[in-house]
Amino acid sequence: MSGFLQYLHYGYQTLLSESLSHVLIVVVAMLVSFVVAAMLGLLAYRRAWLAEPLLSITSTALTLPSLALFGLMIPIFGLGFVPTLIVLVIYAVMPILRNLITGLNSISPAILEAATGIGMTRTRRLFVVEVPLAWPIIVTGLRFSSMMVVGVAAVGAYVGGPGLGATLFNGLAEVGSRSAVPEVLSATIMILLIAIALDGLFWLISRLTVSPGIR
Amino acid sequence: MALDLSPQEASNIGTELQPRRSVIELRDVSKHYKDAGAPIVDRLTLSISEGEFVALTGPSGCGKTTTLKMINRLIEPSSGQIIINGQDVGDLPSHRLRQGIGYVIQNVGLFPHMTIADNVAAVPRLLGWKKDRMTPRIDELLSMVGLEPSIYRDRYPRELSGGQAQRVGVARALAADPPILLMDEPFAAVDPITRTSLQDEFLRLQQSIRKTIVFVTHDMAEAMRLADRVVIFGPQSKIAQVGAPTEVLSAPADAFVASMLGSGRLMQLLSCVRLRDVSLDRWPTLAQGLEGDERLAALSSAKIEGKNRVLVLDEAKRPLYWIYSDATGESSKVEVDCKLELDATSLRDAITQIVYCSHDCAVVVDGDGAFQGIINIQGIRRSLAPLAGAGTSAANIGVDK
Ligand SMILES: Nc1ncnc2c1ncn2[C@@H]1O[C@H](COP(=O)(O)OP(=O)(O)OP(=O)(O)O)[C@@H](O)[C@H]1O
Ligand SMILES: [Mg+2]
Repeated sequence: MSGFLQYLHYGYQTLLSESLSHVLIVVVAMLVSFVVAAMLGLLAYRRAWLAEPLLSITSTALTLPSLALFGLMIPIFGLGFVPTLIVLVIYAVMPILRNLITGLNSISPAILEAATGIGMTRTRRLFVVEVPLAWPIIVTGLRFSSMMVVGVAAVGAYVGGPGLGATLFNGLAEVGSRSAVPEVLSATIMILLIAIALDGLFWLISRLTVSPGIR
Repeated sequence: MALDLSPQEASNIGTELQPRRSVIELRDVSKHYKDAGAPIVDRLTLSISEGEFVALTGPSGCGKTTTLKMINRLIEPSSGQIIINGQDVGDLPSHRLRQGIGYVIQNVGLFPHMTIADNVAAVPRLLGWKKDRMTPRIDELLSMVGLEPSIYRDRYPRELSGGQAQRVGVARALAADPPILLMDEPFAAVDPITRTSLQDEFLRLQQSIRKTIVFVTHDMAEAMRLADRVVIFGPQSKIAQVGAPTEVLSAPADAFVASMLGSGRLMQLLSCVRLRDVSLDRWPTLAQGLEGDERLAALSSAKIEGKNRVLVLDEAKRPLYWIYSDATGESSKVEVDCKLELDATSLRDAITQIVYCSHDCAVVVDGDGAFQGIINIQGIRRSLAPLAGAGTSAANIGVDK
């Protein structure tokens, strides 16, 4: 225990800056993924036949081992921020897209008919009726996705990505040494804290943006 | 006293007698789906006038909803033409067309994520209304359908009962004051008592807003109660009969229509015919304040007609009381205990009233309370005689087999 405190004493600055860059890449990845998923979702909405293949791609893609994916990035994008971001986006898009499509498909036909029947255009109906109604499911997708990305981002250290992965891998590489356990432990705790904070953030977003009529 | 049953007259019951402009016209409209063999709607031609309330009715799956949705192009007809106000519905972008037509669907279809006010404001918002015009309109509409705005404005649909949701559905359809209203079984999802009161309220509302209404229902009694004209679809999606409720009820076109109407047919007929539709009997009257000789003269001339009493009216011709003459020439006053209103009373209500009133006949007055005539059971029987055709006798009244 005293070893751990000693480690914190010397290492807290690294830990903090790594935490910050961890949060940063997660946030960037989430933003990019949201845009990508929204575009793909819109495509699947306009072309109904695309929904099925997209959904099956999304579920198989999630089974890819992240380490393998990171490895594949090195020959193409080299090391650092960009390959990490790309892998994170590939992972994060899946649950978002999945919930987007499921959410939009789950709306009662009677409501859609009412919307069209009173004279909404297709686009108007999408943004005024369908997205708000699917929103709780979409936010759930975002929340799930962000949890996953916080974890996967740590593996990004494998390709020299930013974040707490560096400390984590350091510790794992020197198992047996005095600093190994504190490093792994502190990095893990920070990752957990980030995850909890993000989860709380999405809870808040959902409270604030989901209509009370469908909560 | 006979009921006038010429078709034009009958179809004008409940509306003005002047000829009216045709607002919706279906010309040879058909709908068939590729995979299905027989057409769902087969060469339907129908013209609906301004302010007319038309009910489409018939067995399940006969194409009522399909017909309705072709009018606002939720379903495209396979062939034929649909004209609204002289313009082919295909000429407008479909969402523009629909913004001008109120639409109420069976399962209400309120937007669950919007407040009641936002639901009602949906169409005005599409039309780009300003907020200062929208807010009072929402309150006006909610009051119109019997919902107190301050209570319901900010609620969400899930916080409403089925009947309240139906009302909001109607309010939403009326929001931008469209001249045409399409309604698909709007009152089907509520219990019979609520349904009846919704129907009553809606009839009253229609009296003041005078929309052109196409109303789908599989409930014959509802169609007969509400509509000026009823379209009964038969098997193979053909029109079996079109006509005013009294017309259809008194002379079903064929065995199919008769079977659709069922054994309650005469009772429904009695509900549809108002006192203003039958000719009333006259009765000797006496102006209030006339005494002595004039009174005696009136009583004795009544006696010549075989009547033992006269009705005393005030200066606005409102009935006050009966004066009887007995054998000795003395006269006595008796209260008028059974007064029926010409426009509001159906024959069915009249019968019930007469059965309980003490003179075997009811005094009929107009909206201002002025005396119009009297009606009794014999009179009702006489007016029913021409209606009781098609193998059903007037003796069957009230007998539900
Ligand atoms: N998309 C479709 N493809 C093929 N057939 C259809 C389609 N939509 C409706 N039908 C058929 O058209 C017929 C008429 O349907 P419609 O909904 O107009 O009936 P309805 O008279 O409103 O009946 P209900 O009283 O049960 O509501 C039905 O037999 C139905 O099966
Ligand atoms: Mg239907």
